[in-house]
Amino acid sequence: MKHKIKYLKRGDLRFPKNLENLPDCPDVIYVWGNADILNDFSLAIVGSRNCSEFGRIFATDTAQKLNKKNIVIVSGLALGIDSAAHRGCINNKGKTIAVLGGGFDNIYPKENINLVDEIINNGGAVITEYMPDDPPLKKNFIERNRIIAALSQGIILIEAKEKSGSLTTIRYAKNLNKKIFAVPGGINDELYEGGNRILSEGAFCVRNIQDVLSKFEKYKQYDVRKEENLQKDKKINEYEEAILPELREIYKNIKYKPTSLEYICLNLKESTATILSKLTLLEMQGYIIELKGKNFIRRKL
Amino acid sequence: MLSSVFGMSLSGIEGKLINVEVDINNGLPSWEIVGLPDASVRESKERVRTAIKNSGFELQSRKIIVNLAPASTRKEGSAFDLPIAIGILNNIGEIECPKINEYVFIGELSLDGKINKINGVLPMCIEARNLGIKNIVVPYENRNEAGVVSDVKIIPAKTLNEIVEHLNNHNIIDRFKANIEEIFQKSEEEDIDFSEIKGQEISKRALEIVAAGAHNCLMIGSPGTGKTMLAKRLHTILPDLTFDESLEITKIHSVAGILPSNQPLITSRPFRAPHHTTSGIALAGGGRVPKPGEISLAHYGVLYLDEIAEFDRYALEVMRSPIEDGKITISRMNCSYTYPCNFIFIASMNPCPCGYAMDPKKRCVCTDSQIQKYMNKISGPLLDRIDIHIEVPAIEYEKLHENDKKETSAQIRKRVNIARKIQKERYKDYGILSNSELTDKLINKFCKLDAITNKLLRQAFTKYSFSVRTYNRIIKVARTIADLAGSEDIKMEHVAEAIQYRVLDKNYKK
Repeated sequence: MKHKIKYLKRGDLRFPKNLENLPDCPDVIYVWGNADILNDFSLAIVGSRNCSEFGRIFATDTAQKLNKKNIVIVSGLALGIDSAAHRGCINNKGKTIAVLGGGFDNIYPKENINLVDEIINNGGAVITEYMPDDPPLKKNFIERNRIIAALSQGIILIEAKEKSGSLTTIRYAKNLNKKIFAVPGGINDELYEGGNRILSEGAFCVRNIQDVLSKFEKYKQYDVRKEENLQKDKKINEYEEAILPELREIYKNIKYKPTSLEYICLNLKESTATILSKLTLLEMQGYIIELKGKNFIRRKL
Repeated sequence: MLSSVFGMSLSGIEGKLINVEVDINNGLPSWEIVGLPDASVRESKERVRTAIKNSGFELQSRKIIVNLAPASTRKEGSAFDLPIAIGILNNIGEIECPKINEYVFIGELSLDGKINKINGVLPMCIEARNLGIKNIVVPYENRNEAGVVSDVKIIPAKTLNEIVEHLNNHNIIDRFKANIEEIFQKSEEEDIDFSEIKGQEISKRALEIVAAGAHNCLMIGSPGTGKTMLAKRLHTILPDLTFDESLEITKIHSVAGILPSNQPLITSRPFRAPHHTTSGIALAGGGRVPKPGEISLAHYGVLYLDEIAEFDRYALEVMRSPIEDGKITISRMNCSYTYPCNFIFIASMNPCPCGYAMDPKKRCVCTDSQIQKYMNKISGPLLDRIDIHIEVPAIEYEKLHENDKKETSAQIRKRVNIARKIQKERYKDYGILSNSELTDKLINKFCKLDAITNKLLRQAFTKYSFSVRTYNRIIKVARTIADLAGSEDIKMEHVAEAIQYRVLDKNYKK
């Protein structure tokens, strides 16, 4: 690998102070990338590897918005929610920390090797307590969850089944008295069983990043909703001045739930060709998101 | 004494004139065929001898030598039975016809003297006509396909005796001629139509673009959403077949031996849908004496590979260069044949192993890596040759009863014909016919974008991280959309629509 490995011993200046609260604090951690951010204010985003499309978008969005407030996002580089959270920070060209469950020679999962480069190129860090040639064993991932929990000031659970590995991270966080957040979901939705349970046990509910920020003294002054509303108004103004004002009609037909193209075609008198080209323009300007199966949803502004 | 008559053989999908020389002499009784005959030709001596005997002629035991000239090319098949028999009968004086050199004989003999049908009669007749032959004797069952060749007398014969009487001027066989206009008119009536498809507006629109620009297309959808139904109807909106195209298709089918005997010409574009167990050889063509494969049988038509992810990878890779070149050259030990294969390639697949990745109501149970693995079954180079990918979602129950936008194939075809004409006119000096064949150089020449459109495309590139290849695909498709709209320039809305046909780049790469 082309990245240079730094190692921080316990007691080093840059060694994350938070880790020392752990009863089994590692004596050394290996770092790729920016070792100066390990003591910055950070929040962890964790969740299922096999997440829903909604979960993925929510993770990306939340990470991106928190990152805009200069909060470092910590996650585990796994597929699904973890990758989406890292991706959100990269979209923002911001800093994020990935904690690995194996050595640097064995990046797992392989799909995310490019993601590692992007994290490092954007000033983030990839860290691990394992020697470079240590394999990504199953037990390591449980162990590294304690580092995710210890490193961050709070932890946000997005989607997790009843027996998800992400819940071990929550358990560690609880023992360390960290603030715990979870996204609520339908009670018949197995992807939210874990989240709903920890909510019932007293975790904070996350509907938007305001719910998260308001729990931290440092960020209390931000009124995200006000900010977002301003943005929204500004965007709608821009939108009205856009080259094709007729896009509005089609925008109205797209809901926050997945709306199928067939439905849009049925409700509008325009030709399929026109509708398709307008959908592209709407998506490019960031008002809607296309999901698989030619379904579209509005993007929350 | 020596006599010689003409027969025909095949080389790929072209006929080849063969001079059949027969010499009968006194000497130890023997029968020799020379001129590189293969097993089926060598066996013909038994058929010919018995057929001559059973037709009532006497063949004394003498030394017979048959030479098939030119002697250096391999001969195969049973089409030489008839010329050999005629040569022998001419030699022993049973036939007295001074103009026998104006005839070509094609046919296989049965032991009782009947003439059986053979494969590849059409290309043989065309070649014979081109060489200035005046009369062609063909098996009665092959008369329909032979009948479409103009400027030559087609003489359909049922038995050896009939031919002998014809040549001796006793009982003249009437020449056969097919009425080409009638054949084309008959084929107008198709039993499938685009108006039968309910909903699926985007798929219908995409197929219209596919037909108008001869683009290749990948359809992604769960089982039972209508991918095959759509693909089957594509050829009903393809531009009208010209006579020359029809002739070329018929030639290939004739050589492959799958031309129905009641159908003189193939007048509708072929639709080939080989099963996913099909091997590479069956797709490309092959065999000891190479026969055309599925891609050649789909020439000027549609090749539809359903469940493309289930196909053998090697089988699919075989198609890479033929898709680009429009022809395939198959080389074997002693011959090398080139078959045309200019087809529209339509493939379909599921969005993921479980099939529900596109369904907003049902949750897909596949992991990202499973989906990626599934998608990776189609190689990048093959995907690069596909301009349009669309998703075919399941339609809601209510939609099934919807009947508002009911366009027939004929209406769509009218627009496709116009768009194709525009392309033909534009590219007449460049040796290509449709937008799908545009090279990078020609794209720069014919697909200029204005500033706003360029900006849109640039935004799309950063947003969806498209590759450079995708850029060319989008522009080609936008060119076709502009042609369909009758627009000289590619406008922003055309490019915007074209971006919608790249779902694989947008939604399936994480």
